[in-house]
Amino acid sequence: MRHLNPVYKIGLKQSARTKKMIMLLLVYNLLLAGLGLVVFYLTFDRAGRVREDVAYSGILTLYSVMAAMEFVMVLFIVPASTAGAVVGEREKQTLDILLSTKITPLHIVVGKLAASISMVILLVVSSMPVLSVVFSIGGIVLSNLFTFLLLLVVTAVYIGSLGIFFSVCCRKTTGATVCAYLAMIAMVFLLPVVLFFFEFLEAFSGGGYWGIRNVMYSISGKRVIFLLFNPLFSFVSMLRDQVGRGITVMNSIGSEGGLQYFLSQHWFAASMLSQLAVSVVMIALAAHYLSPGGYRDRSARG
Amino acid sequence: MERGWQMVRIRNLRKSYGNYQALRGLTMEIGRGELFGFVGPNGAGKTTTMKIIAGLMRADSGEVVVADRVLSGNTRKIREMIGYVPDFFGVYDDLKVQEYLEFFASLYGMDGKETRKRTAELLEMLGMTQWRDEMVDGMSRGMKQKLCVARALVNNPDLLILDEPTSGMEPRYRRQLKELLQELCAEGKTILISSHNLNELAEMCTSIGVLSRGRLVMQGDVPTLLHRQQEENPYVLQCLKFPEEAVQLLKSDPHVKNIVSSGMSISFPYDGTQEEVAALLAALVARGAQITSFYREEGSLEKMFLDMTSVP
Repeated sequence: MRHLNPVYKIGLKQSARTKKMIMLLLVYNLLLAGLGLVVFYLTFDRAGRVREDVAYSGILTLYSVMAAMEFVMVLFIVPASTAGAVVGEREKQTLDILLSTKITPLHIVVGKLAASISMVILLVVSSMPVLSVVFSIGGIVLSNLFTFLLLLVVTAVYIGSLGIFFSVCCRKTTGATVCAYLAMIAMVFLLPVVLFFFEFLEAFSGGGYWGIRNVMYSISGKRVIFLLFNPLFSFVSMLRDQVGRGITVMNSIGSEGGLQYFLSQHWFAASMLSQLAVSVVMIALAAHYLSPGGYRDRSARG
Repeated sequence: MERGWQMVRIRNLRKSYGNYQALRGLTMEIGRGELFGFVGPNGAGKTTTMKIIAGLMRADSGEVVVADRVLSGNTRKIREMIGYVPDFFGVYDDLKVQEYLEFFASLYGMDGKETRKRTAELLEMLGMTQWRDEMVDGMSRGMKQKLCVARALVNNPDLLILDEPTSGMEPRYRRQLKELLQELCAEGKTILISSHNLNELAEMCTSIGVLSRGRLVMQGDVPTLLHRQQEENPYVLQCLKFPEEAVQLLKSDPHVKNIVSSGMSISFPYDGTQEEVAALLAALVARGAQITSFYREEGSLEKMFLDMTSVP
């Protein structure tokens, strides 16, 4: 513990003391367990009684639903937990004191990010026993769970780095939270919509109705690279690899050959690396803005 | 540590916030082992200067040297030897007193054993040992301020920067803090303190710097400054009878200006030598003025501050 980032250690201590965290753990796992139970019942027990045969592949549905729930939880909790991390210090008037010590702005940013997402990771890890219900039938192996855990950690770091960036730039927690959510929504939901929109425009000018129809099946050209930064597509890619389910666009990316083919074969790894690269840039920017002479300095009048 | 060597040297420091110029070529020096009082009206640039020295803010231009190291490029090294108390609490209410101090000790790279030892020393030094396991949230304002000072001392700094640490503090804690600062100063630490309580600064500081509109308008040790200011003060003469006679005589003296007479009391600035003052007093007595008291008005830091920082 000696060499652990002190900001991270104190952040964990402060979070672990709150009743909110304990309640969140309890409620989240209860919800997940309840959902799992319902899907399990509908897929096996009830289906067996009604149809007198059981579709054992239904366990994959259970896994997909529970994984999606965890993924969405990470998407929506991380911006809230990271956006207040640094700006909260500013509001408590402890930021200048932290910065006046030997610790560097980079350590502060990394410590704050790690402490914020650790709580989310704790939620995820605590739910692993519930998620392990999928092992009761088969079809999902332990390595699949670890891959899923990796995706959640990378997604938390990625979305968290955006949150921490706005936490450094904004003067109020409310502003930082709004910006963090907008950035998450833009990266996760708006980006594919924009990409499809450009596809539609191009297809319409090129091939009229038939061109537009083709757009439904693929995003063409190098534009597909942008989707590497989209956690939703990473999640879909992982599901496709694990349970054979994914949206059509993922299947058709590989049809054009070259870069697209390579990406379709290694989409998950490539997207994880791309998102981690963006996270590193956002963390570095946040640390730069926190340093004397950065954004904080220009906006502060003492 | 030898007193007299410069701990802080500032040359032509400038800092602007948009169109507002907070520092306009500030130049000053603080010797090692000095307890330096930083005085100036609100907006004079005291906090900005302190933040720049503490490495929290970058100046637009100019040079800051702390302990013979240029601040620019050595910020982290210099921070290691500085303790900074801002003009607000800056405490974590959800931590215990000991945890709070241990956290800041760990920020300076101290390990568990070292941290606990230093924390115990500081709590004892500030008379807060019984508060060790209390939550910061439950402490009074004065105790939180003391805790902030303890926190600033956690790294045993050579230079302690305190921005209005006594504002809102009750007299007992103020006295304790004053004694502690004087003790630290005697140990060789350099202390830069700003306050609006000028009498308090005059009592505890070895030297004073007066800042006005981003420039240092006066700097020196407290007795010299007070003496210099006193020399410009008017003499006050009080008579038992015939003040008109005394006024007539004073009017004839070329060194006397702006006589203010009120009842039996006469006040007048005098720019002559001590011998000429003695001669004037003898002449007054010879003229029959029954003088009950004759003295020069005492110098006060407050008057000096008002004179130095008044807007023309």
